[in-house]
Amino acid sequence: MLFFLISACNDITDIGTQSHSRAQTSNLTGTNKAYIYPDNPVALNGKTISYADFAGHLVARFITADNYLEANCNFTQYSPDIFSSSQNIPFTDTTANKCVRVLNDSKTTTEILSPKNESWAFQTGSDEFYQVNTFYHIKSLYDRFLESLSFAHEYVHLKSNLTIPPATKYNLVDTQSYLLTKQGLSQTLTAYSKCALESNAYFSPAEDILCFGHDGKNFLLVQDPSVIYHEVGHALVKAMMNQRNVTSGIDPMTSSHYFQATTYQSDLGEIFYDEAGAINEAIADYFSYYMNKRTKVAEFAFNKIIGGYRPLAEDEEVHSADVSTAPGERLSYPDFVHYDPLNPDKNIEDIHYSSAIISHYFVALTKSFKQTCSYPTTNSDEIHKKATDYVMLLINETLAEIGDLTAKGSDLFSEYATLNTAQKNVYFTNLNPEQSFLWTHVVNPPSFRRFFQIFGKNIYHYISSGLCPNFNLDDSEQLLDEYGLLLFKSYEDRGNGLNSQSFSANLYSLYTGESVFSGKNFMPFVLNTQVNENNRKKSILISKNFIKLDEESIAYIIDGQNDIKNILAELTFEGENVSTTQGIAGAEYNNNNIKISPGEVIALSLNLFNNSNSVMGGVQFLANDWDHMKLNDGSQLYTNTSTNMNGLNTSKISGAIASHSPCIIDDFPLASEGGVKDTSTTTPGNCSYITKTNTQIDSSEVVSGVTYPKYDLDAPQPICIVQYSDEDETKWVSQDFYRNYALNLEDKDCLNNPSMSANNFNPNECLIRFLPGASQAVLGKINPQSTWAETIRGESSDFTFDAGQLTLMEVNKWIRPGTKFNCRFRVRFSNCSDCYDDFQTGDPITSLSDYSDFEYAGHNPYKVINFQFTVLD
Amino acid sequence: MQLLIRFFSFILIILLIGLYFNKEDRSHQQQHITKQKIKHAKKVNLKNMSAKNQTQDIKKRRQPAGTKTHKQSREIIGQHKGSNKNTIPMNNKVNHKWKELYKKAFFQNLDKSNQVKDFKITQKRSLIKVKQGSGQYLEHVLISYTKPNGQPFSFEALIDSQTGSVVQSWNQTRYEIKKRYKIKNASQYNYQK
Repeated sequence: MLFFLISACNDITDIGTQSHSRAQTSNLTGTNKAYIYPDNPVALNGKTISYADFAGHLVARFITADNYLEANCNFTQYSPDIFSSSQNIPFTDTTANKCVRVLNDSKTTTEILSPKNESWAFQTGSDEFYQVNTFYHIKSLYDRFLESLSFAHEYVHLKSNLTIPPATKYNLVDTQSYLLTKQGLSQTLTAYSKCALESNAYFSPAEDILCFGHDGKNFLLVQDPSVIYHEVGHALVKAMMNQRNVTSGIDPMTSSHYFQATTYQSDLGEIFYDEAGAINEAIADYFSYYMNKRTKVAEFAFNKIIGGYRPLAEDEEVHSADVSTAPGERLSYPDFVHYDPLNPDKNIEDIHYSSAIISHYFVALTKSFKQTCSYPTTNSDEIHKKATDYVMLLINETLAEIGDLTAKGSDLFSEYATLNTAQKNVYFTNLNPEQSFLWTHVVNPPSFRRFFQIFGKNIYHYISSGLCPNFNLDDSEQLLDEYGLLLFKSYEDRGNGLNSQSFSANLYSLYTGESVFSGKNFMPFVLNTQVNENNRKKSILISKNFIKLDEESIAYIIDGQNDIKNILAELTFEGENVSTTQGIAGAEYNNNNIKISPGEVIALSLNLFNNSNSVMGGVQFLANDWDHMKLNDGSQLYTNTSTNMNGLNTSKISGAIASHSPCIIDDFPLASEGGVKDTSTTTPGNCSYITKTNTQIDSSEVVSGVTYPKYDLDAPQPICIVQYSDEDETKWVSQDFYRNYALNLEDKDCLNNPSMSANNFNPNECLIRFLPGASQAVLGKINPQSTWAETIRGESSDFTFDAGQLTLMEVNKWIRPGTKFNCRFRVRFSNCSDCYDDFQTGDPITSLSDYSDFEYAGHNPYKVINFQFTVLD
Repeated sequence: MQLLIRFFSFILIILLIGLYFNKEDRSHQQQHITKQKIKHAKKVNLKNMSAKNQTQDIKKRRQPAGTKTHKQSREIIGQHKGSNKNTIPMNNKVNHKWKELYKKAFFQNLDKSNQVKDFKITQKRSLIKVKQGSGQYLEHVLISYTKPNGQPFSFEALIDSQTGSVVQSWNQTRYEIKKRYKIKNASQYNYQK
């Protein structure tokens, strides 16, 4: 994306004369108010303008009574009233830390602003003026969001029919996770209104910092409040995603107070292109509409940087494509994934473009609520507030479930909230606490499909069945379909991976800890709600059988030293784990011959071909470990390491060294080639049995201070197997087998050897290994009868890669040229008809639902693509 | 020639004799030191001391326990219910140079043209993560630096206390406008079977 600085034609930033400003300042003495601009200069002046002209538009508003430019944010939570079933008792938490603080910049010498004579009015256009305005807009958004959250909390827990387990945290006051939190403590969002950053902005979730840049002259990003709302929107997304990652309750085993925060925190979106990132951008844009009711974002700031603005509705004039709000003409998925209104002929894969589909949907949904729901007022501002409250309820419920690293998904399944010890190992989302981060970021990330399935479920249960019955299930499905987002066949209301019916006996009173409220039980559905297929007109679902490797060119291989070094550097800068095995593989071996040679670090992109007649969206290919190998003997579990060999030889441990064979998947490899097969899906250790825990290596056996690692019976394994030949046969074997029998390699000569991985060393990645920080790639869309390269190239002569479309693979320098490998990538896409549901089983309950969470450790939800290659000299 | 051989043989013998006596001397010195240590050890009759003095005396005499043990100062996470962190078996050790190991792995991929500034590892917590009855020493850190293009960046990470390797990273800084490294003319890289 290109951007350029536009010098202001007019350098005026001082709007009024100094005397006018002084008069204004003195008017506000003792009020704790300031003169603020309620919107950006373009919106205020009703025309495109290149400088921050606020003349005649400043209004006096309360800032803070604090002695510094910071404030508390108060959240109100409701609990049942024992004397009235129609009224609930509000309780406002005032104990949290300061929620927001604004400084001019990040220099250590910069001091926080104080008022003058209880007035926050400073000279218009001064740094102080902009600090105060930034504070005002951030605090306004925070206060408005907490209003919505309070409404959502009261509704889902105390007023709804409880037909699905509510994801919104019940005891938000205890956990203080209604805004930013870390390790169970509320955090202050620090914003720099004039950051040393050239016409850019960032949010740091690690430090809870917002930075708004400037152009070094008169343009500051904070001159456009819609930019402030967008950036704060990212912080609020983080808050909603992590709301459930703090647990506060009573331990049923000890009856003592229990308080624990997860170590990790959830992110919505990885560092490169993915659909989760697009959703994050869409929600951030929606916060601008939420605050100012306009369907334009950053008209002033964008115009200064790149020209134009970002639209939120099809009837905005900036749209160049043939779209409108008429049926069948909306911005739909996946066709508009690459669409840039300012450059409609270009194919640009960027989360800010694909986010438009989602942001337009959110605005259209809000407008539908305004038109169809009943409100106790005709005031348009009040109706906007109510309608956006409904949308914020849906967003919060959806993100709280998706981002839940405790894997509980609802306090209804928490043993600390229900005092029910039977709930200890009950998980509703993201598999289990150990694997939840991997599940929700890599294996089953919030793609458009996953997000809107949960969002749609929440619409049905909270809007159509409660707040707004006039907006029924068909209306919801038809609107989703207009945007190509009706990507699922059922709503999974029963719960994915568990039978929520068995929890209906939980009394609501027990769940909330409240002692009253009889008759309010959890009432789950017997069967999952199905999508009405008559509503699916634009959302085209495609079978995974239509995706395959291109026949002429199966992949792109980049092995130039400079390119690999730069990619590794970039990923390192982005905090990804891409450490290579020094001395065994590294860019210094790269020879730029577009072949795979010993010692190289290769950037690899599968050249996937869409063999259907429709566009595939959100194509993801994974190179992470999965359950595709079987132990040859289920009692022989020790990993093949020198430590274990010594332990066995000296009888410190008893057992044997493990060996694995590849399971036959899609008829590969054949039984005659070493493949193994079985049929029982209920026998642990079988190929047909998928690991329920995704545990790989068990390091619990410690004898005299020495750890003897073992594989789990169904341990997920690295994806590459190797072809082994002797005088009798040729077969596909594990990398461990090959390094022993063909190469006689010691542990230290393996990739990710014990010096790097210690007791997590897995010799099944001794020879070929995908770097953990580059083990997946996401492609925006693939056109019909095309590859991604052909799609992205469009009319251009060529195309480019970035690290988001590549996986990184190490090749052990000890591999003999001529060695053949097969890597079992797993591929899927968002509008896949047979990737996510197991409608085939015939069981009346499970056959109308998605795969359980654990299935994402296996091959069923994916198309397995075998990428074969020979290592050449 | 024979004279030379005899001369060098003589020198060799002298050297070997010298080494032998040197070793004996060291051994003797050690014995001397040990004997001296034993000689200086003080016997104390606890019966004649008050309880307070006994405690103080025992504290003086016994070998120092060292600074706080790794386990005592660490927060316990994971499947730790019912686990005693002081007795739980550990499947890794703490290498006090874990920060250096991490830093080395981080900078391994960076050359002179890709240097970062103000690199900082801020230790947030020291942990013991319990899984299936055994513990792993881990460090929860905040990594911050300025990228070569001048943009500040930070993220959180969980580091193995023995190897310095990254277990997981999260909360990376999110820039609104991001310039990515592009591999141009990508069609030349097509790989045929």
